[in-house]
Amino acid sequence: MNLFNESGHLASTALQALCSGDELDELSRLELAEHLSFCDHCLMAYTESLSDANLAPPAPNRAGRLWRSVRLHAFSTASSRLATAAAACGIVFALWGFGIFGGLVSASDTFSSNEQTFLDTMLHYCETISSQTGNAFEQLNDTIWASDLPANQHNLIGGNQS
Amino acid sequence: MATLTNESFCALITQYERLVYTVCYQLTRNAATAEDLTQETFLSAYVHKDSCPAGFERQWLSRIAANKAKDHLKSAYTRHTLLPGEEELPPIVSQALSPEERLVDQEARFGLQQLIYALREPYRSVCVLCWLKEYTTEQAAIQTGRPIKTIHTQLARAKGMLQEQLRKEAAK
Repeated sequence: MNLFNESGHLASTALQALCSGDELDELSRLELAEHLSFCDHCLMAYTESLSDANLAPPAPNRAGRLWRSVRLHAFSTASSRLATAAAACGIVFALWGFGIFGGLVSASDTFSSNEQTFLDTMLHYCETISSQTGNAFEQLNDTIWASDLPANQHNLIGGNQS
Repeated sequence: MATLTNESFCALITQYERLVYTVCYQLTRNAATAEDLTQETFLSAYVHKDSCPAGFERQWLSRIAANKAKDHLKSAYTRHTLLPGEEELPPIVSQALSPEERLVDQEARFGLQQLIYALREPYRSVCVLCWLKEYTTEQAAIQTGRPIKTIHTQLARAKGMLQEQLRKEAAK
């Protein structure tokens, strides 16, 4: 039996077979369920084909059992969250008790003071290098002026126009 | 979206428990399993009751039931079926370069194409797109309007079918 038509939707024979309880193998039922799980068009057609007369009779106390399982689910969710929170608190207090946080704070302070010293030293080095470089350039400049320029140009620059 | 209170959800159970059970039963054909899946359906509906579309409660519950049945059938089906990839496919495409082997290779490709075109729906369209037209699974999902996960499942199942067909042909 072809369960699907050429457009990829469920064939009417497939819906009939599903509703009438005809023999459908496991793979066919899996394919039908897979298709119904995403196709709005076929789901509408299927639910419309399920009239009240086709529906199975109600099982005794299904609603009562359902509420029990809902309560059980809610309880297990709440207890799981509570257990997670309690475990987290336990870990935090244990770390606190072992002095991990105190160690972290002191390490952080030491690092901050070391960092400040390092920055000061670096600043000092930079200033020294800068000043030495400046002196070196000045000396080089003087040397160039003194050796390379003709005497008349020295006089011009120096303001001696004669 | 309709926000369901506990009272309205209780009314929903009373109104649709037979429908949900029937969907589960028709898809699984097992009364005990259908009973369990009905409970799971309503439990899932309760957890996600804020996403219930107003006026479409019937379809919403049917979809959840179909999903639960699908998950159950998938696990039951894979329990007694080897997934493709768990056993090696016989090499269809030869690596040889001699003209004779190329000819055989082309024939094998053609034969495989024929087998793909002979697959039944919903597998044919997906396989043609992904294996013959070289669409990605994402593109095939958009083209066919199916979820990507379903495309992967259908491709894997189609591979198993082709493998079976090739075995039968080799045995002839």
